[in-house]
Amino acid sequence: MSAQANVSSAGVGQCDTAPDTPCYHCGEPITPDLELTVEIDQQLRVMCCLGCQAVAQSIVDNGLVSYYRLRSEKGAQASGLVPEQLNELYSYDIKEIQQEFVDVTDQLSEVTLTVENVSCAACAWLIERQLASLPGLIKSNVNTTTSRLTLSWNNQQLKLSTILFEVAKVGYKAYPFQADSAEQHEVATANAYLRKMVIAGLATMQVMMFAMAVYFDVLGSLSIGFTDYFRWISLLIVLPVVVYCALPFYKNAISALIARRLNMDVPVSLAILLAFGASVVATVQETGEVYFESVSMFAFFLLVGRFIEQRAKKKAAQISSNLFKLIPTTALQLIDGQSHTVPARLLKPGDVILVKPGEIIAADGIIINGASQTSEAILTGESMPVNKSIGDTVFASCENIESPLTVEVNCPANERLISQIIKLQEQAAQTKPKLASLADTLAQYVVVAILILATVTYLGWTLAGSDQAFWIALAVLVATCPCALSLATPSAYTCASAAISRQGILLRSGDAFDTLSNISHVCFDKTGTLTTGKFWVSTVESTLAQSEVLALCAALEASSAHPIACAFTPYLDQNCQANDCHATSGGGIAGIINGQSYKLGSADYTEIDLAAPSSEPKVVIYLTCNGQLVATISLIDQIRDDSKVLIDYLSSRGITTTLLTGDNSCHADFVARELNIDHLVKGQKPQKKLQYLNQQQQAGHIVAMFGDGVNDAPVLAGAHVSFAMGTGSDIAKSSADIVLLHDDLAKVATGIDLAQRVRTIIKQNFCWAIGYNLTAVPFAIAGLLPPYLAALGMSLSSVIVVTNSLLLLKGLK
Amino acid sequence: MNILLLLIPMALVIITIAVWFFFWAIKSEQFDDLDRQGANILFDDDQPQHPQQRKNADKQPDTDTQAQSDTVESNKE
Repeated sequence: MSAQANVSSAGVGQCDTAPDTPCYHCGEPITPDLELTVEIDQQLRVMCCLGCQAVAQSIVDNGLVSYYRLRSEKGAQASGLVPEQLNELYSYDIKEIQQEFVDVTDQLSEVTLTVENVSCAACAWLIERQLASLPGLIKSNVNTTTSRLTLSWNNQQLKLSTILFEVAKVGYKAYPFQADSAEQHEVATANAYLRKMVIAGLATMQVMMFAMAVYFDVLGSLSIGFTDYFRWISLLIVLPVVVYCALPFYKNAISALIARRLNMDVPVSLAILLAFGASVVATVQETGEVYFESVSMFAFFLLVGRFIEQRAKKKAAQISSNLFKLIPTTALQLIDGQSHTVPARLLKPGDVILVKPGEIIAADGIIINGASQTSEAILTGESMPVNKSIGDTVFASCENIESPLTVEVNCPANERLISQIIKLQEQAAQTKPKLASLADTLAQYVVVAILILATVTYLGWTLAGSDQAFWIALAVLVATCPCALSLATPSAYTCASAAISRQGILLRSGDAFDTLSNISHVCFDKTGTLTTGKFWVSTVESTLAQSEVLALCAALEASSAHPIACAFTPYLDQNCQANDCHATSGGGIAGIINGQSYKLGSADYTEIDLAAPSSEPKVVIYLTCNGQLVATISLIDQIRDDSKVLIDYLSSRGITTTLLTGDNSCHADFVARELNIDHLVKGQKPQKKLQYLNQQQQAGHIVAMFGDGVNDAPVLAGAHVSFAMGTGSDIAKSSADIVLLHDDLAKVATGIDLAQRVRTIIKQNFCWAIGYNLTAVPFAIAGLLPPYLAALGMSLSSVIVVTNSLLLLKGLK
Repeated sequence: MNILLLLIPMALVIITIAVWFFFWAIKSEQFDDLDRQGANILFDDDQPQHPQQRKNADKQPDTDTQAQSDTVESNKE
C-alpha cells in the first residue's frame, strides 16, 4: 500500500490531537510540548517519543500498517539504540562469540533468539515481514507462546547484526539467550505426556463404548459370545495404555521404592497393574468382572493432570531461559598500541585491556594506567562506588564509572572472583535442603490403608467361605483407587502457579509453594533488593527553589554516566542547558549555565569549608555558582516503597527478618532501622553469608532468601526457598526458585498468602477424595459395588477435586 | 449383528491411523504455538512491500486504490 508518512503536522487527514490522546504506538501519555506525529492510514497519529515515532515510521514505510489494524495489544515504548547497544549488536558478529549460540553448517547459520515484548500474533507477523525483505535470509519464524525468533540465513550474504538491527527498527529487541538446562527436558516431557494423554483418551472412548453395551445389557438379546468378544477387544485397546501410557507412573513408583519412600505413584501403579491383571485373568477364564474401562479412564484422568502440570513447567522453563540473555562480554585488548575487540573469555593473564567509562570490566586485573571509580555492588553489595587507581585490583563484571582504565589481566578466566563465587553457588545448590511434600507424606498412609483393607476383605470373604473373595477384594482396590487423591496436589499447584505468574512472579521450581507456606525466617540482601541500587535525591538545602537547583544539577550532569548523575535525569529541563562541562574523577563536574560558572561535586572539589563531615548514610554533594555555595544536596540509595510493605507483612505473621548484606557502611544500619528488620548481619562475604544461612537452617529454621547480586547466588542456591529480582544478575536468577519479574516485593506477600490458600485447598481436596473412597469402600467390601458405579464415582470425585483447585485461579487480580 | 466382528477391527485400524497422524503433528511442532495460528489468516491479504517497491507502487494508481479500500475498512472498525 502507498502509505506515505509525514513527520510534520501539516498533512492530509485530520489529526487526532485531543489533549489526552495517548501515544498511538505504545499507549503511553503524551508530553504536551512535543509534536511528534506519523501518518498512519491517512490519519496523523501522535507519538510520545522519538523512539516510537521512528518505529511507527518504519512500519509505515515498509507497508506493514496492517500491524496497527490487527494488533490486540499496544506495542512497547520504543527507544532508539544508544551507541553501546549498537556496539553490542556488532559484537554479535564476532566469530568466537557466535560460537556460543549459533549453529553453523557451511554457509547456513541457524539461531533461536528471544524477543522482548512480543504480545500478539500481529507482533510476530510484523517481525517476520520486516525480515522477509533481507537478502540472504532463509527462514524466520516467531513463536508468540515462547517469545522466540528462529532464524536461518546465509552467512556469506547476511550478518546477524543486520538482522537484529532490522528487528530493532520495528521496535523489538532480540537477544541470544542461554537455554535453561531444564528446558529441553521439560519440552520433551510435555510432548511425551501429550502423546500418552491422547492415546489414553482415545482408548478410554473406545473401551467405554463396549463397557456401556455390557453395563446396560444391550447384548442380552445377542449371542453370549459377544461379551467375550468385547472383553478381548477391550483388552487389546487397553494394553497400550497399561504398557505405554502409564509408564511414567511405574517409573516414579520404582524410583521412590528404591529410595525406600512411598509416593502417590505407588498406589496408582498398584491400582492400574492389579486391576488390569485381574481383568486379563477374568477375560481368559471367562469369569468375574473386568475393569478395563476404569483402568483406562483412571490413566487418562491422571495423564490430563500431569500434562497440564508439565505444560506449566515447560512454560516456566521457557520464560526463565528467556531471562538469561547472552550479552556478549567483549574487551578492548591493546596490542602494540592498537585496540582490538576480543571475547572476554579468551583473555589470558598478561593481556592488557582498555575499559572505557560506562563499560563492564571483562576480567580481573590490576590497573596500570588511569584512575576511576568502579561500582562493585554486584560482587560485594556495597552501594557506594569504590575509588581505584594505578596498582589497585579491579574485578570482572564490575562497572567502570568515570574515566578510562588500562588494566593488565592477572588471572585466567576460571580463577576470577566471579568464577569462585559460582563454584560456591554450585556447592550450595547440592546441599539445598528439601522438605517432604504434603502429597508424598499422605501417600504413605494411603498405600498402607489400601493394602490392609484389600487383604482384610480377601481374608474375611475367604473365611466366610465365599468363592468370590478375590473379585470382591479387587473391587475394594478399584474403589479405593487414588485417582482424585493423586490429582489433589498437582491440580492445586498448577492453578496456583498460573495465578501467581499473572502477578509477575515466575516459579522456577515446582515445590517452592510447599516450602513458601512454611517459612519461619527471611533473609534479605540490601543493595538492589530492599533498595533500588540507584541514587535518588533525598534532600536539597538551598536558598533557591528546589526545582531550580535540580534543573541546574541535571543540566550539569546530563552528559555523565556516573551513578550520581543518573539521580538528576528525571529533573532535566530543556530550558536549562550547560556548556563546557568537564568532569574530574572522584571530584565532580563543572560547567557554564547562562554565562555563570557552576561546580557540582564533593566538598574538596567545590572548595567548601565543612563544619563537620556528615556521618549520615548518604552522599552529600555541593553546588557552587562562581565559587559561592548555592545548594547542598544529599543523595541516597533509596529503599523501595514495597520493601516496607513486605517486611511489615512478614513481621505481622511472626516471621523473623534478617538483613544479610555485603555492605559494611552505616547505610546497612540505616536500612535495617528504617524498615524495622529484626537482625542485621553486615559486611559479609559470600562464604560468610552462606555460613550464616547454614547456621539458621541447622537451628531448625525454614529460611527464605531474597537477593539480586552475584554475591547472593550461593545463599540463594542454599536457602529452602529463594527469590531473585528480575533486574538482578543472571547468576542470582539461575540460583533462585522464584524470580520477581517486575522487582515487586509487595507481590511476595500475595504469593505467601496464596501458598497458604493452596495448602487449604489441598487439604480440602484430600478430604473430598478420601471422603469418596470411604463412602465407596463399605459397599465394595460388602461386594455390592458393580464396576460401572466404581468408574462413575471415580470420575465424579476427580471432577470435584479439580473444580475445587480451579478456585485458586479466582480471587487474584 | 455379526457385522460387528468386522466393523470393530476396522474402527481400531482407523484409530491407529489417527494416532499416527497425531504423533506426526506433535513431532512437526504444530502444538508449539497455539496462540498465533488462529490469527494468522487475518494477515494473509497484505503483501510485504519494501521501500524500493513502494516507490514504484506510488506511481501506479491501481495500488493506490487498493490502499484506499484498505483504509475505508479500517475506519469502519
